[in-house]
Amino acid sequence: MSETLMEVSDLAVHFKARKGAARALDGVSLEWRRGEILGVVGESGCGKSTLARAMLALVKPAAGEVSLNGTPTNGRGSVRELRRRVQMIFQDPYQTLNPRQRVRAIVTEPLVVQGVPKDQHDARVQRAMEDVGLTAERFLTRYPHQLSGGQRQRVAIAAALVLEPDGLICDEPVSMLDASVRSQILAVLVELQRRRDLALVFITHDLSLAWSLCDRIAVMYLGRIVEQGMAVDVIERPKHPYTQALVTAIPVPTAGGGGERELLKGELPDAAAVPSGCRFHPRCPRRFEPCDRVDPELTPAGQPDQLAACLLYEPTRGRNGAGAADG
Amino acid sequence: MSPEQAASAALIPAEAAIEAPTDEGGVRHLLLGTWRGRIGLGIVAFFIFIAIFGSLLAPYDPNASSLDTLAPPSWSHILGTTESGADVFSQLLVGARVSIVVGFAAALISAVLGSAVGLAGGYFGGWTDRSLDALENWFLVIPTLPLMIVLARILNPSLWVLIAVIGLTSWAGTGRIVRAQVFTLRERAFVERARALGAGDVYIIRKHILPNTLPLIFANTVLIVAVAILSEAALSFLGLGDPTRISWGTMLENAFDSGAPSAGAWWYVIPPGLCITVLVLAVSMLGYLFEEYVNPRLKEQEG
Amino acid sequence: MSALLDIRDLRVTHNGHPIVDGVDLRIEPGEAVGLAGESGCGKTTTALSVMRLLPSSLRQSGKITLTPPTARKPINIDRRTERGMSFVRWRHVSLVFQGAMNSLDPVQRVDAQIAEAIRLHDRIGSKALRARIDELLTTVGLTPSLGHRYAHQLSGGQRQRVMVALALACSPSLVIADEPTTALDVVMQAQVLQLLERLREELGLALILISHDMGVLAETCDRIAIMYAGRIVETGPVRAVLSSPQHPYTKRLLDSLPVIGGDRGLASPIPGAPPDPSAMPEGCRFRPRCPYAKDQCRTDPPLREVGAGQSAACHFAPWTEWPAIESAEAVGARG
Repeated sequence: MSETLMEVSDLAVHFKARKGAARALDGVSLEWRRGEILGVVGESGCGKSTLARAMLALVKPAAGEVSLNGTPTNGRGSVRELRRRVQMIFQDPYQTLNPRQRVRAIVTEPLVVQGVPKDQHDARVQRAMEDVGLTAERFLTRYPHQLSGGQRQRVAIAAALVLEPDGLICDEPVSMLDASVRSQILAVLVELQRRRDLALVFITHDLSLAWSLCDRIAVMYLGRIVEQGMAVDVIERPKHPYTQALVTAIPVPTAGGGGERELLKGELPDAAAVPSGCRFHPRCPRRFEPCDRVDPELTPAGQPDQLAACLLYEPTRGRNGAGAADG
Repeated sequence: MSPEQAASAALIPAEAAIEAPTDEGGVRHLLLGTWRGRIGLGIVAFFIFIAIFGSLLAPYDPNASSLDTLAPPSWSHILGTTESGADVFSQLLVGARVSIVVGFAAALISAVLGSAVGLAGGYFGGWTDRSLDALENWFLVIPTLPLMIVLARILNPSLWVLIAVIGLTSWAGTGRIVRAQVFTLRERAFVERARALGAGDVYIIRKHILPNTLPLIFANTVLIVAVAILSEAALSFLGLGDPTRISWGTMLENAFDSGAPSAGAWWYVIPPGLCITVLVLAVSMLGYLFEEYVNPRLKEQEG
Repeated sequence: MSALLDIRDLRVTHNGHPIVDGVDLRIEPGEAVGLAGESGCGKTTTALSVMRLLPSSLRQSGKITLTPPTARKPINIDRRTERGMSFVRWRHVSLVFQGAMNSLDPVQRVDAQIAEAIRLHDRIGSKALRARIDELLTTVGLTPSLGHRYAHQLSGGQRQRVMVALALACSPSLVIADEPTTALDVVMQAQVLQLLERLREELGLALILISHDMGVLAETCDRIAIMYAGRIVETGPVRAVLSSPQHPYTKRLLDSLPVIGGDRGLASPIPGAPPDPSAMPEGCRFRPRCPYAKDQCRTDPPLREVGAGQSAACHFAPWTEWPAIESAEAVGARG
């Protein structure tokens, strides 16, 4: 289980913006292990979607590299291999399918593009459709507009499965679906992961969802990972002030919320104007002297395997930052 | 879309758009179900029929002259005769062929050229797009009729030249529209998904971009047919058409040259003009119908 | 004290099919009521009915009475003419609607839009107008200078606050907010909710908050009504309903929500989908998807009181405990 499927090292992706370069990813390192569900959470604009695209070689990195099974994915051959082994599920089920293609064509397409022999097509399509719960024959002849949002998303998942990938990157796969449909699709994904021993990357802004689903979680802010570790640790015992703020902001359905919570002020800065030092410092309720000058690295904080990019946990400071680190 | 969603959509822009029905049922309904569709289709079908069978149906050889010059309608010549004694009605029937052929052929060239340029520029962007766009702008800005006149003057007039000239001067509009549509499609999730599968550019254009652009191209091309028919008539009228063939435009040219209007020979002037008008109107009617159909769907698809 | 808003037997149909099918709702002055449910359940249509903003293809019937503290006598919304309604909208009840963030006019400055809303409903001098705009912007937590900007120069959260300011422009006593936080990040969402809470306290505002997110409703509302297939299936004080639901739909919906600190496993999902208005099942509308359905459920369960202020439309309510469910396969169709 702890074998590495994909490794991201110091990845940077820049986009041209009106005022210089927008640093969508600004030095991200991540390890995605076989068979695990890795969550990537953060507000919109933090770079999580860009990370997904970079992992799939859909955008060109400005620096750093992505490796699949130890081989960097920068050549034509390695990218081709990547496409077979890692697939993606997109957010909007209404945009993710070509409105002019029937379901059968949509699910068969990956096999065609990747040159899988024709005699294998029917069996693979059948298996993929069964795995997503669309067993009835009639689904294959439908057009996308004849399907509900949940069904479309299942078709998208089937199309991703048909190549029998090792990993699936899911970019907000359920955020546009209703509550009951949402839990259906999640059940499909979880079952698939179990049955096919898939590795999943689950990108979402919904922390509760990430907490309930993922093995490990990475929290992103403005192009960097600011905290990572086991899901339970990161969400229930967050160490980075940003993660703490996110968790506090979650409205709780039971026990009736209300009550005063300290909320984060302001908004995510523009990726073209990243603050100096620690990029979170302008909004950080626990900032202290060097935070506007020193850019912290991910350092161990809290539970084993938990890392936070915060000067509060720098080994040189020990545990005496301006605010005492809570256990 | 549930009626409840429709209620809120009435007030707010639709965020998650439901895709509209496919073309098949829609187009058939448009053509046969609406009165505009039926009339337009009927008229165009009628003229196509004439274009094919006109020479067989003509009572006289349209080029045959006789001594009966500029005679008003009679039992032997339903629409009278021309200044050289030829039968107007026969000329009318045969002339339909040129209008239809030039109209459709020129529109086809325009569509193919415009689509190719629009697809290439819109999909590849960058340098390719900038240069193609400049080319497009050049053709858009130049006034078409004078350009056609100049081109027709330089090249020897013949049917093919006519078709080429009209095609060359009208492709830019299609190109523009296609390019805009391709820009939007390029960013759609299903295109990105195809890329993530490892599909190459040509495959994506062929399988994903083009099929979703065809309705637009089609609607636009129908309107270009109307323009082409009118352009042919104009060029022929100005004496730039193919002198060896009879068309409605050349009929009008001859009529005016021989002083038919002042001689009161209405049977020579009005029929060709009327035919041009009616055909162009019918084609335009169909074209706008298709455009209306394609456009709201485009907006829905944008989401 | 009479209710601020009293909705009796509201019905909305489309081509004869029920979209809202007999909804009763009472809002007291200053109260916040949440309307929960999935898309298609009728909650947005209900909100639009109160403002008489339904498109002409929908037929509305039922009694809606609004009794604002500033009005001389109760307003019968269902009987007003279109012209009569224009005096009610925005002055007594206003709306922050779904996707509102993108509904600002892109070519008008923000303060101009607020000014327009005010001027449409009140006579007011320009100095007083300026003061009012600044006051509104401050109330929603924006610095008044932001009023000079255009919509695209503001962030999503700021635009949403402008929409709230617009809704408050004429000091209504009731604001209907339809999914006001759906497109926002969790932090922005919390900020907007805090804002609404503060406004309620400071201005004595009554609120109808529509959302599919139970957490959002739990934060802000006093009472909650759960809608399914055009009907209210459960209602009651928000804490009671969320901690001890009395309708299987509510229960299953709550089960599917992950709550941090609790059990991490994913609950078995509710199979199937809500019924289409043209093909409503007979009897209880949730029956095809309900794991506890029995023959009795072929008759319509009325919404009746089953506890302290809590009502549910289920034959077997009150539920003191929920029996275990067999696997999801056993119930209804998938996909």
